[in-house]
Amino acid sequence: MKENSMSDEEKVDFSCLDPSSNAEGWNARIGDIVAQSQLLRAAEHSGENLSQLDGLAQTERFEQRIRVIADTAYRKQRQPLALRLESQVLAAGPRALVSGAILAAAAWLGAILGGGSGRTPALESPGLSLAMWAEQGRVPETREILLVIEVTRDER
Amino acid sequence: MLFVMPVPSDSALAAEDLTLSELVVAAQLGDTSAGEALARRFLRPAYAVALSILRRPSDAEDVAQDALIIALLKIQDCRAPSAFGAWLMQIVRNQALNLRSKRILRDVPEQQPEEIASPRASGDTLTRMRLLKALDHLTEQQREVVLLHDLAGFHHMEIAKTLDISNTNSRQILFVARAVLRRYLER
Repeated sequence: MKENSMSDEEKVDFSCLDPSSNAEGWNARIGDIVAQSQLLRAAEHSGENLSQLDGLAQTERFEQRIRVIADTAYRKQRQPLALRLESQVLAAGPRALVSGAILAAAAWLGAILGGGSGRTPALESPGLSLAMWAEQGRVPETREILLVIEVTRDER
Repeated sequence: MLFVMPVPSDSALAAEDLTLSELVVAAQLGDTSAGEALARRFLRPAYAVALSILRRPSDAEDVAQDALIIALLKIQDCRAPSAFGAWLMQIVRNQALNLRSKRILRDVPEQQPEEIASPRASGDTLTRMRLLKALDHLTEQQREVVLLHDLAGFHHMEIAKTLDISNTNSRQILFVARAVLRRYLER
């Protein structure tokens, strides 16, 4: 006991490096952790179940999931993490469904992540890039999505 | 919107009273409030370990958050619930080392630009910079121990278990780390 109290007296004051001193931001982070882990788990599970659904339902569900993830990215300002989720969703979906669903969700993603004006530079817009990938009939790799997002963020 | 932010509930408050093993088992069974309690209990220690590797507070916060998300997602893989802390810190270390490798590849300076451009009061900023510079003079293990103890509030027994060192070793490392820090901070 005595040793502990002596130890406390000699403590180095790290309070200015302690992010938990901002209680509001800290609690938001904790909420974010729980929410993101739930979202990821849900995405994983729905990915597993996706192949069991019929074509139309799959497309709708796929698009809905992309929208949820994009919306979460916007609300949480956690684009890289959300896009990692998105790439997992893309990877989980059957390739034949990806093009149509991405095209439907591309404008939504572009509007959210490419800036609020509704007018985004062609190559830098994640939404348009996704549309471009969809036209090519392929699923973008995670590094490609992250690269587009980084370019967009750097230029903002 | 399908997505609802969790709010503390009665079960979340009750979760705070559970032992670590009980919390981990509850989280493995899908109890969200147990997951939240784990996040609440371990976010600061995770940040401390990330900071000891990265030495950039903003990066350390992000890594701690990402590591806890991974831990909660992969909670079924934690086979020894009482050793959750050590298991989590391994995830933190891996995440931090990955980020550090990316930084080196992209030639990102170790020094934080936000420290210079910070809108905070200059005294506070200077203190942060002095502390971060002083931490540079410690080994990674010394940084882990001193940050876990003095920033995250861990006891030596918890540090020993988390870092897989003895209780005595933890005390010795803390003693030396503080002495080195004091030497640089008093200059």
